[in-house]
Amino acid sequence: MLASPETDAVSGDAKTGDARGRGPLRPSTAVRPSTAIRIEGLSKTFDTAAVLHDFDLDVRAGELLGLLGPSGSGKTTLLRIIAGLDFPDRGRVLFGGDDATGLPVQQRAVGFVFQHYALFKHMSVADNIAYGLNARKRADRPSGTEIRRRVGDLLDLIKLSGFGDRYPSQLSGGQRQRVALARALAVEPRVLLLDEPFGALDAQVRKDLRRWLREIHDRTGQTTIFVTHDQDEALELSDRVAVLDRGRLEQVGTPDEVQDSPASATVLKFLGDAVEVEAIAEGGSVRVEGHPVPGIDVPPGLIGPVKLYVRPWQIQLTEPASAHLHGTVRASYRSQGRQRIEVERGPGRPLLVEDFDGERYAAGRPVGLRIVGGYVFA
Amino acid sequence: MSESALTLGGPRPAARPRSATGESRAVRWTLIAVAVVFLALFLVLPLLTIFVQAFSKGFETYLATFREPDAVAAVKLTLTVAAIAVPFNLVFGIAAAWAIAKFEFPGKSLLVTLIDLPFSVSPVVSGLIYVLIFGSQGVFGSFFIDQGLQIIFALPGIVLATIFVTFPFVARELIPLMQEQGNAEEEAALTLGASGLHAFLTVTLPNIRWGLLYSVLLCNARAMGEFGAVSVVSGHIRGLTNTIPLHVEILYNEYNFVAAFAVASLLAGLALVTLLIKSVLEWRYAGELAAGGRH
Amino acid sequence: MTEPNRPRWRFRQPSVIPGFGLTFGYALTCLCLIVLLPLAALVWRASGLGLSGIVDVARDPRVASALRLSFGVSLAAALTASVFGFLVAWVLTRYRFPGRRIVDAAVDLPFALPTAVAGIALASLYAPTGLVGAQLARVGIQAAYTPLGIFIAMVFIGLPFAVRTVQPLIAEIDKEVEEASATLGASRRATLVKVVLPPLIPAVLTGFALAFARGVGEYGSIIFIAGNLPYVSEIAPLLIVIKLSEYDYAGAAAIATIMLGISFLTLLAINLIQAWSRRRFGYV
Repeated sequence: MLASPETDAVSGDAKTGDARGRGPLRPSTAVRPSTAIRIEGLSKTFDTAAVLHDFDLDVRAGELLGLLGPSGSGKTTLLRIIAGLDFPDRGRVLFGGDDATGLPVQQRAVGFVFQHYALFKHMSVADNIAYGLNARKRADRPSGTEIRRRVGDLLDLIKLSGFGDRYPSQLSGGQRQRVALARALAVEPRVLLLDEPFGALDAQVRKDLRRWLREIHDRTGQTTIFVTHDQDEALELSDRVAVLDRGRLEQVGTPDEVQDSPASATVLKFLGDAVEVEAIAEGGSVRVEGHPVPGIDVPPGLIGPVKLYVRPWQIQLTEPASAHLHGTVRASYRSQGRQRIEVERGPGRPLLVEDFDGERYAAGRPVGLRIVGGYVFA
Repeated sequence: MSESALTLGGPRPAARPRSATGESRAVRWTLIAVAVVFLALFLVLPLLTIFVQAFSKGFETYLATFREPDAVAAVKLTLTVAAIAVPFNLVFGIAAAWAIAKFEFPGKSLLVTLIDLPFSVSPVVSGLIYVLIFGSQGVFGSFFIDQGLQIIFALPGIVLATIFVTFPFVARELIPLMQEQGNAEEEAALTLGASGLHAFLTVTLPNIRWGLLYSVLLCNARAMGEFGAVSVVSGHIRGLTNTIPLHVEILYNEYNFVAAFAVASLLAGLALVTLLIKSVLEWRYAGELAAGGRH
Repeated sequence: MTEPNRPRWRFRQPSVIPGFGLTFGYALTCLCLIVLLPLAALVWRASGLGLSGIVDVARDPRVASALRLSFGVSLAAALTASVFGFLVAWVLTRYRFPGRRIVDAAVDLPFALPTAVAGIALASLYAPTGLVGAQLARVGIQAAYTPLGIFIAMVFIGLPFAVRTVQPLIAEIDKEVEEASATLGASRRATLVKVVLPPLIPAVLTGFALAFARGVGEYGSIIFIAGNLPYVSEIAPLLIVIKLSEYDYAGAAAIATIMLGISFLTLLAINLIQAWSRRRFGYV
């Protein structure tokens, strides 16, 4: 995705890119008022295990940011620290330039959506949504009619009009999660935080809710951070994705950026299948078994044996004469319009190739493998 | 910026706000103090009183209480009653739990409620109902007396009343426990060729052993300590139909306080041992006991 | 003339597990012989008096005063036990402090301690010469041999019911629900009042009803501290014993029937509370 030169000039550094061009244009200044939340040097240790190491991250106003990482990567802890539900050992959380690290959760004006909804079971759907408004001090509290009006609007937004008098136990999982979202939106939060929002739902409901959340975000422009361990979910929904691993930020960027130029082998492996191939780097290019591989970005100064990471679609089956590697077909099957071929390069060294031609390869057939792309990391 | 130079990896948070889901330290410790003082006054102090009073005239006097023939007879009678009532309720409890937990039939919840019934009946009423049946003016009273069979004011009446008040103990622990465990293991044993009895002994029994011990323990404590029901049916014949609790009452009403508390300390000791084993079972084998509703 | 495909009605669902007939039959026989028949004898005996006869017994001033005392004091004691029981349950599940497990075990003391033993201990503690009674006497309060003494004994035996019915529910409170309330701006106090307490109310009511029923029927732990003065501190169960010793079986049966009726109403109330709670919140 290439932005126009004007857009590029105002959206700041090119590495992080714009939010798919959806957000409003933001002036580039030193203070960056477009930064809604800034995380500075955050560290957190539970018992003896460190869950966050010296963590920095900027969240832009109006963006939908996905925190992606395997379990134990610290993403939920980060979300809870932003909300004020957990407290860092070191570091700061800034909301629009103000230090919020010492601010109690009640005063942070965040909307938090929990994985298991955490709805108030003894309250009707309408009372759940109105809860945050009713909890305000009398002076700040909207009138009864105003609260009812806003609850009605939110019920429309989550497509549950007429469900206001029901109780959470009478709703499906997807409906409950929508109520939880409406409840969080009702207080007009500075930032919406979602912790694995679709984790407890069926695959189909999950897909629908994902699309629906994207729509709501596009309509409200609400700054939103959500946590997920599902790559597809993060890549489909987010304006930008932050990939976390073992308490560190591996990379942050648009879905295209993290897929096209992953910052590390960890990011690459977490975003999809990849094969490791032994290679030699020299003079800015890479050779496998003596044959050069085209189209690889080699970090400057990298020389000697390296690991080349190759996606399944970056390998082609060819005649053995023009191949980088050789092997025999073990199995071959169709999946979502592609032919997936498992090739064995030697005992215990399987390899996955994706082919769009749809030709079926018989097991036991010797094949040549030609690498047409891949990634090396310093 | 000498201050930030001292800290590594970023500034420290100025003040840690208190957790979102807890009370402040002061509130917490006030509540703890109120609860502990209340329990100490209402529960622990009476317990201590028993032992203090029992030993107030020295260890010799304490021991002398148990050399009395009436005291010995009371201990013997209590042990006899428990030796009959507890095994009876054990067998009943296992049978009832097996029928209720392993099978589906209409009226099941009514049956469970009826088994629980003795818990909601006053101990005095529990004794009274047997007097109404077997007493001299009772429904079958004259019949049994003609046969020369004394039930009320004798061992059988005491045993019956004790069985009644301890009736639900084993069943109500085993029913939820066996329901939680389901039928899969027994079905597996049957498909492997085990007989029903063999499956029960080798599969069911090991699974419920801690729950069984737990319930027998509580059943026994109640059987040995029951006062109201037994008091109504026993007739208070010294040395003959007096259980330990009844003996305590007689001594107390004769203003023989030291002896009363000495005998009471025996039951208090039993209660403490019961509580100790019960607590150990709950800590160690919580997963192998029925969840919730411990009485 | 049954339709060929309609399954034959059977009492129990088919199962490969053996032993239903034996265990069900044995359990039902025991239940009938030990529990149901004797209770039926009581009702039969009372029915001989007729409803008017039972009302006459209840109208007797001494009986009426005993029933009033039993129910009134038991109500007050169950209320007190519920309040402190909730506090104890909360402290035991929510806070960590040294000796917590011992305190937790001590809650069951009134279950484990024989009632007569508890009775003489309470009586000697609260007697005017006793450890606590002497202190109370100094400020002009007499506990033993008054309704206050009965109240103390009833709180003692009712407390474990109040604690143990609420405790598992406090332990099951979803912490996320409290966090959700906090993120929505509610103060800690508002969270407790609006979010934490309401779902616990059915359990508190159940504990209250159990403590109340136990207090009404209790005998052993009360008679020593009560002093048993007619019209002042004579409880209904004691009156049954007195009627029995006078060979007034009908009178005893009438009082017992009234008490049994109240017990059943309490049981019914508990079941209704739990059914309502299950329907409303999907849990008990």
